[in-house]
Amino acid sequence: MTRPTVARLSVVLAVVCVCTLTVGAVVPATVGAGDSVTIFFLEPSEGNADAGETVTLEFVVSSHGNYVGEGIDQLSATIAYDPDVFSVADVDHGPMLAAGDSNATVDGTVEIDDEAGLATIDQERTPSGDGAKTTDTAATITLEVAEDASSTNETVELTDGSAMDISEYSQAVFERDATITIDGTDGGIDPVAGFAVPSALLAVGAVLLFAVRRLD
Amino acid sequence: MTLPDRSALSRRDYLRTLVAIGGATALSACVSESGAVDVPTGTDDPESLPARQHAWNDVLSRDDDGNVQSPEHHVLLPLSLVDEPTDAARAQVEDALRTLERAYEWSNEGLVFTIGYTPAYFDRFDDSLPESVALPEPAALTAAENPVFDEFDAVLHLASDHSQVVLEAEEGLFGDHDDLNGIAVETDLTGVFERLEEQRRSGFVGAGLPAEHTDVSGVPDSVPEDAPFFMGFRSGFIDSQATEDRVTIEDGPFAGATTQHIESLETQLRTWLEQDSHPMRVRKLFSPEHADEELVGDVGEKLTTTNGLTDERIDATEADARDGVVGHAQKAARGRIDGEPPLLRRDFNTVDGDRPGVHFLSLQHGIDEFVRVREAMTGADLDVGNANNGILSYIFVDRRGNYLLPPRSLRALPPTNPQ
Amino acid sequence: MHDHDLDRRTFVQRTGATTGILALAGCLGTDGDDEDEDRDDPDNGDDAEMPRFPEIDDPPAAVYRPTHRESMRMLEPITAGEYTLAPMLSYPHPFWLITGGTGEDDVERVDPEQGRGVHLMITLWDDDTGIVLPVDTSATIRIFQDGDQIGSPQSPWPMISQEMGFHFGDNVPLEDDGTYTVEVELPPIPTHTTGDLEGRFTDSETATFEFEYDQAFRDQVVGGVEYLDESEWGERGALEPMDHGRDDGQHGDDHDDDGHHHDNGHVPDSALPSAEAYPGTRLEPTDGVDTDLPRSGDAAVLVTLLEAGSRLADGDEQYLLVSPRTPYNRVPLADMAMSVTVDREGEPVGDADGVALEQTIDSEYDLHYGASLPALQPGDSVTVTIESPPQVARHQGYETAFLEMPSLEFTVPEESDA
Repeated sequence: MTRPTVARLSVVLAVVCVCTLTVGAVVPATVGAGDSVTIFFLEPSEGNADAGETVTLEFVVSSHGNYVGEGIDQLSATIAYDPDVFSVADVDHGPMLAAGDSNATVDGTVEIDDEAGLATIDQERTPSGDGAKTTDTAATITLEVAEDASSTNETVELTDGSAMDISEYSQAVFERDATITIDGTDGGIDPVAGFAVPSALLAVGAVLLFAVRRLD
Repeated sequence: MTLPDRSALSRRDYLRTLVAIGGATALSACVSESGAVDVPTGTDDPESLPARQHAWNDVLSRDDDGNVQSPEHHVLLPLSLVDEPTDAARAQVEDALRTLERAYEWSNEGLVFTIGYTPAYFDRFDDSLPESVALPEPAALTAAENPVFDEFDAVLHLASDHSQVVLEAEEGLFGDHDDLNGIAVETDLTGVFERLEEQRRSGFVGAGLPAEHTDVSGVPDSVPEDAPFFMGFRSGFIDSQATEDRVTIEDGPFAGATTQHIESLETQLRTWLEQDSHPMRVRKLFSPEHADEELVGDVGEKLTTTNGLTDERIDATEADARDGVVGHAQKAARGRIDGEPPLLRRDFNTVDGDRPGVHFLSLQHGIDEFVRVREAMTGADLDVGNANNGILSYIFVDRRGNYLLPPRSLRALPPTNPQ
Repeated sequence: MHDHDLDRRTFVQRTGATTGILALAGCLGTDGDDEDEDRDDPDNGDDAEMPRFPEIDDPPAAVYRPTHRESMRMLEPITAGEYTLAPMLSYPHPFWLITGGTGEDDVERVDPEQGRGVHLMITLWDDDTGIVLPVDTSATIRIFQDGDQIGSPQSPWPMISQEMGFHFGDNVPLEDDGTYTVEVELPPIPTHTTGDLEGRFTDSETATFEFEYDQAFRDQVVGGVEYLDESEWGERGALEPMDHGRDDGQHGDDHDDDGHHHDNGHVPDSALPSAEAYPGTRLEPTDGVDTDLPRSGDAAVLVTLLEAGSRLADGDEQYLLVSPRTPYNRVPLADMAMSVTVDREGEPVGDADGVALEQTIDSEYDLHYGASLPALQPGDSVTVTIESPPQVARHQGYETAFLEMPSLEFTVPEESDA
């Protein structure tokens, strides 16, 4: 399992938010498969962060498998972000693809191109077995907000998603992006109302990271 | 022929596979697997045996409902005459068959067998068969089929609950095996008949046996656990079968004979068991009313001694067809004569060619009666699509053969017009 | 990287170029009732709403728009005797079997038995007239790999789909990648034929074709799927029939890498002629309808009375021609059973039990159900009773229609244009 190489590692002061999801922030889905569908999304789908802080996003993958009930054993996606605002501090592979088999592991790679603002995640389930059918975190991405970021709404996009079931048919992948409201050094725009950091979620994040590291 | 991997198969499946392979090696493997099976010996007194070759029902086992149970293991040995029949050859055949009767009790615990002769066999004689024998050349019976015909001379049908017995009998008649259940083989069939090994057929019947063949391509895991036949249901209900008397030719020189049709089918079990639901299968195999009234049960256990086809249900066939679906048994029952089923079915499952199928072996008074029932079963007259026309879209006829099973007294190379 | 991964750049260009994809913007709502238990996993502890899967929970009892258009690889059509066959392959997917039509056990959703394999489809048509033959031919298919038969023979199901119209098909499980050979035996067609088709289709024919099952195939047939906007899912309506000239309905120029030649410009559509193309006196629905043709079980039913002397009529009788078809796409509805009764001033004319209509394929009017009747008079009431709905398997969007099919009542109009 390859660890992502990142320029800077920050303390995960995760700014995680629970927000009422407002529909409309959905990008055109990549339709690359049969009518067996996998949904890729980022959680939280809306959040905010101050310049110089980090933001943690969960890349969640949800699949019911194919018509036969076979799950997926490969997935990949690229997370695209504005390199002037964000850089990748950390990417941890999550347990999604290992679901349903305590002996299965997630073999993953991450390629980060901070200049272009792209982090590409490739994962494979070993052994493939029946594949994964669940909704769970495939990766946890920690983004560092630039010290000099201006106040803005930034979209963190999921693109080029692909998921393949154990029969080697690709699934249709629907992708949903996230929007991060940056409270910049310029004073900027108001944060989303009612936005707070629930401590319970931070605890959940910690558990997840631990779980992922055990798979290393 | 290589033997199957013993460790990969259940004991029953291993034995079944040995029967399918045949030959001395399979026999010795079977003997070592079965160990000391106590097979009852036969009789020195041929007069104590029934005059009809097909008189099996009295000596076969019965199920709890009183239905005759077919022996578990079957082999059909196609035979070709080496030379034209002579009295010496006749004597040899008779001696060889009597050896089997001495070696094994005439029962499912021992061995039951018949030898049947094709129209091609009788063609060599100047006389034609008497009018009392209806034995035409085999023919395609539906527009959709293109079968190969059994044009060899004879077929020997061996059946026993012990795989070892059918293998041993075959080897005794054609191989090097010179001891059958303690009886020395002094006369065999070599020199008179050749075994056509390419066309050798084998099979099995019994609750649970089909479900043991899910390793075969085309046999899905969903074969019901307790089903005696691949299609997933019981059959051969005693009240839906012709009696042995009914199928026996009573008059003429072949009095005591019967005719036999062997229709070898491949079956599409994947769509049958994986796509059709249980109620759909019941509709298509029995009748729509069988499904609506839940008359059948999982594998036919609710049907006791009859397939449940009353005159009403048979009469409803045309109307059911117009309602969209019609049952196989329902259609076939239209071929009843004076309310009686004309066919005595002794069909069995097979995985010959490593695909699931049925050797549909049927005895009847004359082949015309088989044709009558088969046409009723085909139902070309019915206003129904092929997919819902009974089980037509799940069965694929590969071979057909017609045979005369002479009475025991004439079973050795009979002429067309015996005195 | 894996060699079977898509070339993402090409992929994005392809999908990006298609219409319909962009329509997805905003289409994927959330499903607050998502029953995915995994989300309750303590590791996930939050109950944020997740995007909804493209599923139609409660489709109308009518033709409806599914979630997506399918995609397929078309093979080169082959001829066999009087027939031409166009084989088409897609990924294994569900369809619905019909066995009867009105009870709850009569319709069965069939899921593929395994993920590896194909959905094999064949469109069969008469070479001379170009008419797609919408009949259950009891064809037999055998599949071979390296000369060995794979599995048992099978009879493909007669099926209808919004994109493909009438065809034969089934899911076929396959294990290994490679070249497969398909042998199709076509027995004589038992259906009554008229016009230029009379006396035809009496011989058995065998056609053979090959296909490749490999990653390129799998990527192609899933790569062309188009999802509709969520607002359309389950709405009454139908997908446009596939343009048979184009492979997988989207991009016809990027898949010759498999060695197949894609000259598929001549696969005829199974669609019936439009209602205007039928001669005779169109019978008027007794109850006014707001559709061009009256509907039964959402099937559009054309009923016309051909004048005495019509080539379809016996002797000096008239010929009642009943042509049921799917709404929108005019796909013929085969393997129905129908009968007709006639009342004049409240009294039955002729057989009170009705006259069975015979399923017929005509070179001009294509699939229909017909019967010769003694001369009808203006004002006569004609009732078409549907004894069984089309016994053909259905692709998604047709499985809830053409099941409960009430009888239709017509009146012979005063003025005849016959």
